[in-house]
Parts: sequence; structure tokens; C-alpha cells
Amino acid sequence: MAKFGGWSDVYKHLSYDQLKELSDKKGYDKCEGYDFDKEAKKIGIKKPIKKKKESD
Amino acid sequence: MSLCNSVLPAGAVECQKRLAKAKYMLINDVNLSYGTEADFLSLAEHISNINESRTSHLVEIIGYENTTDDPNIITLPNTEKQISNEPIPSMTFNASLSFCDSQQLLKTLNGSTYRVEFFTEDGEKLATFDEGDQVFKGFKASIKALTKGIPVEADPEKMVTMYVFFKQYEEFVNSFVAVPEWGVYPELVNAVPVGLNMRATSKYTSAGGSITVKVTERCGDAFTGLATADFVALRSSDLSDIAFTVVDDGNGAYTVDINKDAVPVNLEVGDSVVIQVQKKTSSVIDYISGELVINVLA
Repeated sequence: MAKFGGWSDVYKHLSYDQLKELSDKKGYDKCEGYDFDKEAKKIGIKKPIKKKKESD
Repeated sequence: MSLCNSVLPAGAVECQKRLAKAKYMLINDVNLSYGTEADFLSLAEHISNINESRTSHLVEIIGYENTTDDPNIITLPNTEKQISNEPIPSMTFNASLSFCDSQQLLKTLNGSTYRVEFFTEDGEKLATFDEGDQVFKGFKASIKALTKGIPVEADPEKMVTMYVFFKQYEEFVNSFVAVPEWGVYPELVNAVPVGLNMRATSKYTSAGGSITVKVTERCGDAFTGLATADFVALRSSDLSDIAFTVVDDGNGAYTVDINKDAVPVNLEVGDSVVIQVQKKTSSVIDYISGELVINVLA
């Protein structure tokens, strides 16, 4: 089974969504034990925290 | 600087020592020099040059021939003889190489210019001293490796011959010899990274955006466990933000996605990049492959 070798530091400047788009396009999710959030975090890209909607 | 500066062939004992035959050669980056005699003899500096900056390449010499021309001797009308030139030294040598090493050498030593230092059998280190810049450095030379192609019946190391054409006669007049406290073997030999072979098993296309490669320990077993950080781009056709993403497909096979630009896109037709495996512990290169040139096809 193919094993993901990690993201390059060159991608550090990308947004979470840009990196996710790249990951989906390349199909890395098919790699053994691949966890996008965990791999992205290794180069400092964290999942954005969604803001709660303010109630009226 | 040297006890032997003056002509004292029958004098001080130090000046009677003859140089032993060359045993090892350091092929250095043309810009490599040593600012002090301590640096010239520093083991740490040499090891760092071999396995970190990769500005020095150690070669064991198996056999060599001095191919320097004899000087032209002219006879004047009064029958006095004169030497009309100072032939610049040259040599050929054969090195201790595996077949795979020699294949890499053929691709690397293609007539480019380097600086060459020698280690003799007695452990002496021979180079030159540049009085203008006050630095120690190897002798400037162009080196080309040529193969006879067909396996040689005897002396297999003679299949590949290196032709060394030195550039300046004066550098040899200003030769400098010193004896390091360490030996080339084992200290420097052990510092040389383990060689890997990397060959492409597919072509990179602009549509696909990736190439598959096979990595082996020289001509031996598959080399497994490489990750993205172990692949480096050495040169490119002026591309920016080159990024690899590596997938280990097992048994020494890897898929290497290669992108360029700040917003990553596949390389385009006409782009080229030269890649290499450099597996490091901290900054020390433990394993290194040959260079793989990737030219992007339609």
C-alpha cells in the first residue's frame, strides 16, 4: 500500500483550502493511514476554526 | 613557510623526503579554498565538505599515468640550448569504482573545471598555495571521464579512465605539502555518503504532474522509506517554488509529484528540473543518489 511521504515546506504559505484542493486533486487520501489535517499541521497549516453565528 | 623554500637538497633532513605516490584524490568545487593552514589540515572541515556541502569528492586512485608533455628544447645558432615552454601537467587515472559508481562519474565528470588535491600513500596532502589571495587550494583542472564500454578482461577498473588536464603550471611551482594528523582511511572514507541509484520508470507529463522512480542502493537492493524531505531540486529552468510530494509505493518505487509557482501547478512543456535523493541526519548526508534530469513532455 502506498504511503504518503509528507508535504513539502514549500507549501507552508498555502491556505488550508488550497492544500486540501491539492490533496484531493492528487488523490493522496488513498494512501495508507493518510490524515490530511495531521499532515497539514506538520507544515504549520491548521484547519480554520469556524466562527459561531451571532444570535440576534 | 616551508623549510624547503631555499635549495637545500643535501641539507636539512626535512627537505630530502620524496613525495610518495598518489593514493587518493579530492575533487573539489572550483571555488573551494582553505583560508588557513589549520583549515587545510582540519578533519572536521574535510568531512563537512564531503558529506554536508558536497564541495569535495573523494576518489581512491588505483593506477595513474603522468601524461605531461616534455618541454620544447630549442638550440640557438650559437648551439646553446633553451627551454621554450613550461608544459602544464596532465594525467590519466583509474579509480576504485563499482560499475554503478562509474556510471554516475561518467555523467558528472564531463569536462567541467574542478580543483584537485592529492593524498599520498604516506599520508601527505598536496595542493597549492595562492600567494595573491593567501589561501590554500587544489590544482585547477578540467576532468573528463570516458568509458571503453565493453567489460575489460583484466583490471576491470580500467574500463573507465579519467583524463585530468591541469590549467596552470605556476600552481605546481607553488605546491604545498603538509601531513594531516588523520588518515584518509578510515576518517574521510567513512564520511563519504552511501551511493544510491535513482532511475525514472515513467515520464513526467504536464497533464500527469508526476514521475515514478526506482531507488536502489547502488546496483543492490531496493531502498525503501524515503519521504518528501529526502528529494531535492538541484537546478531547474529558472522555475520558482518547486515542490515535491512523494508517495512511497513500496519496494524502492516512489511517485514524485512535482509542482511549481506560489499557487502550485504542474510543470509545463519545456520546463526542466534536476532532482536528487539526499537522505540526511540533521545536515549530514548519509545517502545520496545520482542526478535525475526531468524534461517535461507534452
